[in-house]
Amino acid sequence: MKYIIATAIVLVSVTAFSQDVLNRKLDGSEQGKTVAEFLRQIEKGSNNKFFYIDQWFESLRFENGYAGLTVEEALKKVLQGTDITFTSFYGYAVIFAKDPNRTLEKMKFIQSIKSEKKQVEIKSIGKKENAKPGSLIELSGIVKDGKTLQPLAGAIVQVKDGNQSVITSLLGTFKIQMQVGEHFIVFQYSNYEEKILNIGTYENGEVEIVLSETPRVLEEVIVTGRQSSAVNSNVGQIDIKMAQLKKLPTFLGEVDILKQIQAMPGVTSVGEISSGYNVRGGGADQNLLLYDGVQIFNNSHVFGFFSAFNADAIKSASFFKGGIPAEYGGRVSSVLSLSSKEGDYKKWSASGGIGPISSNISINGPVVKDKSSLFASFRSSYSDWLIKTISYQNINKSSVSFYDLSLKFAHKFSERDKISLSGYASQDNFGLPTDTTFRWMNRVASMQFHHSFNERAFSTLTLGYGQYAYEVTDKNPNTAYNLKYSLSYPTLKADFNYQLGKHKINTGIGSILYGITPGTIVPTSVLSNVKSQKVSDQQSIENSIFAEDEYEVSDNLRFNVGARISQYSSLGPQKVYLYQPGQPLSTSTIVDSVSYRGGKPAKSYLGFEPRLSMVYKLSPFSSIKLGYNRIFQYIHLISNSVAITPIDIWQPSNYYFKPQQGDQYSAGYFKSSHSGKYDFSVEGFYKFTNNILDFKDGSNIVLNPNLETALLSGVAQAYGAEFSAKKNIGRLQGSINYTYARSLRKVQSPFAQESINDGKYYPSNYDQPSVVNLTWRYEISRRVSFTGNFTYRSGRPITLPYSYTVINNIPIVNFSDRNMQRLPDYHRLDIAFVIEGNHRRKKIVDGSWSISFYNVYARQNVYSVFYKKNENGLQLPYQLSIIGTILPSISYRFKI
Amino acid sequence: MRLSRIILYSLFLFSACVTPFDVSNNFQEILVVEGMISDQPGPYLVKISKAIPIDQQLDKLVVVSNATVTIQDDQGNSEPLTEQTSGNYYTKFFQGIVGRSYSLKIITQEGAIYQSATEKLLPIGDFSNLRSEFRQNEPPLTNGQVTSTNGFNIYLDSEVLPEQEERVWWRWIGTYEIFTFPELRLKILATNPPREPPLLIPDPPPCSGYTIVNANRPSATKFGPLADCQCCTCWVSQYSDVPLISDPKFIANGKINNQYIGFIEANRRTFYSKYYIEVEQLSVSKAVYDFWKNVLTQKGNSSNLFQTPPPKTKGNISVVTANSTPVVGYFAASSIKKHAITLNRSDVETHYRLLPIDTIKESCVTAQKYSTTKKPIFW
Repeated sequence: MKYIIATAIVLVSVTAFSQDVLNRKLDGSEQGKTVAEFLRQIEKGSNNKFFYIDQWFESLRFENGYAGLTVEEALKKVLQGTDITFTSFYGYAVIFAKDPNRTLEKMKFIQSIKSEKKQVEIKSIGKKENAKPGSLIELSGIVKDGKTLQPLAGAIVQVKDGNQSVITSLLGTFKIQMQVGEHFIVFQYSNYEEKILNIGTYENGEVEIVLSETPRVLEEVIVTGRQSSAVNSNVGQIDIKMAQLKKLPTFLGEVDILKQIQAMPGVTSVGEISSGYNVRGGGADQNLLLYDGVQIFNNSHVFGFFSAFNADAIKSASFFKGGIPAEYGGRVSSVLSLSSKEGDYKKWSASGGIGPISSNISINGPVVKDKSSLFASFRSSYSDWLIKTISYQNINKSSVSFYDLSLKFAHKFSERDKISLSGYASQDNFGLPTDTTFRWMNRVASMQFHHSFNERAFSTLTLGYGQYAYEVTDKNPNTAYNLKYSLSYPTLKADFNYQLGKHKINTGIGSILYGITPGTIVPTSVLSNVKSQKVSDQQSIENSIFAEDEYEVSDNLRFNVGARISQYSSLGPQKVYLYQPGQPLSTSTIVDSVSYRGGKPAKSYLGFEPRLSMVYKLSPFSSIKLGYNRIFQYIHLISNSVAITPIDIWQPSNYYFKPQQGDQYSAGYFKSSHSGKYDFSVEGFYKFTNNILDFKDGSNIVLNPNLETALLSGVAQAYGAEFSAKKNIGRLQGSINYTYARSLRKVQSPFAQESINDGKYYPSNYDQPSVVNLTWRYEISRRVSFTGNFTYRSGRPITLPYSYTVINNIPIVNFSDRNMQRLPDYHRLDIAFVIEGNHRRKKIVDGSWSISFYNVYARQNVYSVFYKKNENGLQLPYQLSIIGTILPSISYRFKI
Repeated sequence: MRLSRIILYSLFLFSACVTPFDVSNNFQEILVVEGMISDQPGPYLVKISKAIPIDQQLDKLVVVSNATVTIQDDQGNSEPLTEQTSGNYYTKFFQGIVGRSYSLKIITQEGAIYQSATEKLLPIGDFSNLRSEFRQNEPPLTNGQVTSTNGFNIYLDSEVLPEQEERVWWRWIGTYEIFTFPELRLKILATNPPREPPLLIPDPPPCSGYTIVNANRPSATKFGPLADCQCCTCWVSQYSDVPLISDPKFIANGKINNQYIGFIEANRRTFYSKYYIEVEQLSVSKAVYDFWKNVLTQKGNSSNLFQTPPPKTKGNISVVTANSTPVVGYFAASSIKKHAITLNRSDVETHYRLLPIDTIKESCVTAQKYSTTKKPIFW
């Protein structure tokens, strides 16, 4: 046996000299001697006895610098980094031992490998004879995907006997220092099969590790580009586990990435099933949503019932709610960056899902083997039966349909150069019984060119074009019209990443050109009393330059320091109306107007946005994190309703609308249990945003050429604390989080009609102080799991009537100050059973079923409060619960 | 792919439900003011009352009496109003003149002071082509013609003067005659213990001209007629229950064509004889226009899930004294143009036959809201 477990030998002795031996100071004579020689030397002149095996010390020599140390100190120093320890017994014997604990750990690990029948790959680096026992060597390497041979960033590399782990860089590379000798190294990447390497490391060297995707369908989607443990990640950063997502209960069988976002601490939504979300007390428009680097404006289908992204087409998702890196900007509250899936470079395959509302299909494979690949997915609704079931007034006479489509073509010119072209399109049609139809769509095309200069440097160039548009058509002959809104945004971004020692530098530039056609209304019948109207087009440009440095100061301390400078110009041609000074802005106080020529800036803004985040590890299992970010937002959502609806108006900053400036401070404490089984965290934040817009009572925001007269500017503040606990391993996994947060606004002006609630702070529409989310998954067997989630949120603020009057024979309701009342609290339990197909590698169809029960205890949560006439002709509030009962559904997913 | 092998099964119990949202414990006291001065001859009326809790009926209206109410103009003239009926304050001499500005001041009995904005009396363009279009939305005999969704849409073409700045306000009063049978009124005889089934005895109101012998007894009998019926024929007024204001979107070259004014229901009561509708077109200040626009937004919110939160309707009157009851309402200064049309029973009967009026067994005054026995001068 290679390792010897030292056992204590009972030696009978009355003399006690060993303390003296260990306290004896070295005189320099030890220099150049091996440890064994040295020990034999002291043993001679004393009554002490040293127990050891010669081979352990063969290559350990006392070099310079030991003189003056005690024997104990010198031995500790020379043995540092080895797994040899020593103990004195009975004041007489000094027993040397190969660390028994680590050996036991190793044996235990080997046993677990055997029992779980895991594959172990054996490798040897360097020549055994060159090895210097006890010295440290450096092992570097790269982790790659088995199919696409793409580097895997964020893979975990764990040395089993050293309790040491690192994470691969953005280029998939890693470096790790370890003892000369034999080790077990485990390579993990979510949704990939774990690889265990039994490696003999004798000299510095390199390895290439190829991981293959887990064959199970449901596990197929990968985590994110920046997977990391809770302890290591930056403050406010969450990576979304796509595979986990598919095992959670679904609403009508639709796997939904935005619903998962809404279950995270610090994220809320205003409606029962609304896709717009609020992050840390911010507005729904303050969330940046990127699809392959290009913004998406509308994130939902059917007014928020489903998210606009087919989860099958998404490779990874990263979400930032605090400490937002300098790379991102333009929205104050959060960033959700989605990367679409790339096709397989080896073989063709297909997968899909069939649900009660819609079905989706994806195919992917090589166009030229190992060179270029294609991924295509399509999702479409079947019919509008869903809306037919809403038995309120005429809603069931409506019609609804949607589809979305993603395509990605990637081509590798060489190991270092790759181009990918991706496209995304989504469209919705919604028809009201009153002859009015809404149609909205989002289209994005992007080209990304990746080039890596060497192992440490790479850059990405993104060229994109996006368009968001909607159309409202009324076919009633007397009022027939067609209203169109369109927003286009060509985008350019170039970034350069460089790793220099302990610094990871990311720097780049970006530009977005916004072109907005705010609205054109045209009568579409001869009888129509609608007059043709057009609000002039608007152009603006947002430029940015950023640099950030992720600096590993030490093993325990990491900084991410960065800055972004954003520059914005509202461009001509445009006409700026000037108003009488000292008066509220109103069309009747216009005194003059100034016209700007095409391309000439009418108003420019410059923003300096410092970013900082810091992680300090108190131990390998706990850390403190701090974050600060300032972000300028140059485009505002002018919405007359509390949730994002497709017919909202996006208004870029201009002469009157200043950019929003958001400052957020966050701090957190994270702790993992030693086994990695549990994670706990608490995060607190304070956010202050100025120049937020709220609308004046009863103002008209659609097709208003003087929008500045309809809107008011104010400030917002939000603060809160988020607590979260997670169990990561075992048959039962899950998480629970609780958030307490407030979100307040203030709109104050010298003019009463330009103040809201007399200029006092009032709760925002999405101020939901207490939020609880509980999610779990229990593996009943290898193929069947039981999952569920429970959500509780405080009711959101609303404005309610408190009395009525009759003026001019017209009944009128008097409302309270804005948002002074609340809806009832919201809570809901969903459960699901997920039944996976067999786990054989070779099968034709790999399928799984998901049986979901939404709203298990049938609570009638209030989705919306709306107003209808009572017998006195008064508009009184009524509450609508869209899903007032338990809602079961079955969906099927397959992979071929 | 073998999609055919895939079995799809789904089960749904999808139900949305709508229930009233309880607001009963939110009441707050509010003063309500409604006043106008116009270019028409006076007297002008200012009404002052208090807002009513949501769950109470309109007849519980609390009026505000003994207030000092004054209208003044920009020439230094002013007139205190006199309270002729409770809560209703009238002018005696004042005459509104186009181009002048007016304001209203109220001092309540408790000493709270309220002041309106200064309102300029703007000129108003005329309107023409006041007309009706019959709409048949349901078969003629639905609901026994007591109520009907069939009736007349009223339209007009309007001229908008530049001074109006695209603001127009319309009001209308519709009038129709009804005939009822108060002498047939019955009531339940109150007994202890109550009878089962209850016994109905005659209960003609005195205005019917009939009298009763043995009132409140099982043998009660009616006698008569002893005099002419004073409450068999009434004239009922109808008003728009939504404010009618112009939408600048529909103004082209100073004209609004096909302005919709209202819907007149055609049933066996409203067209017992004929229907008279008088429409007023008024000039309106921005403050009052905005007040009505907010009311309209409030009304328009109905049945729309994607609606705005309802706006507060405040008006152009503000509280001067601190800590006084808040106020809603308006004081308007308007020029007015009026035109009327008459819709005849025959206008309905060109489409289908109307049944004779149904037998309404009560006084015509209580049978309908806004009903009076006083014959209008235009009838």
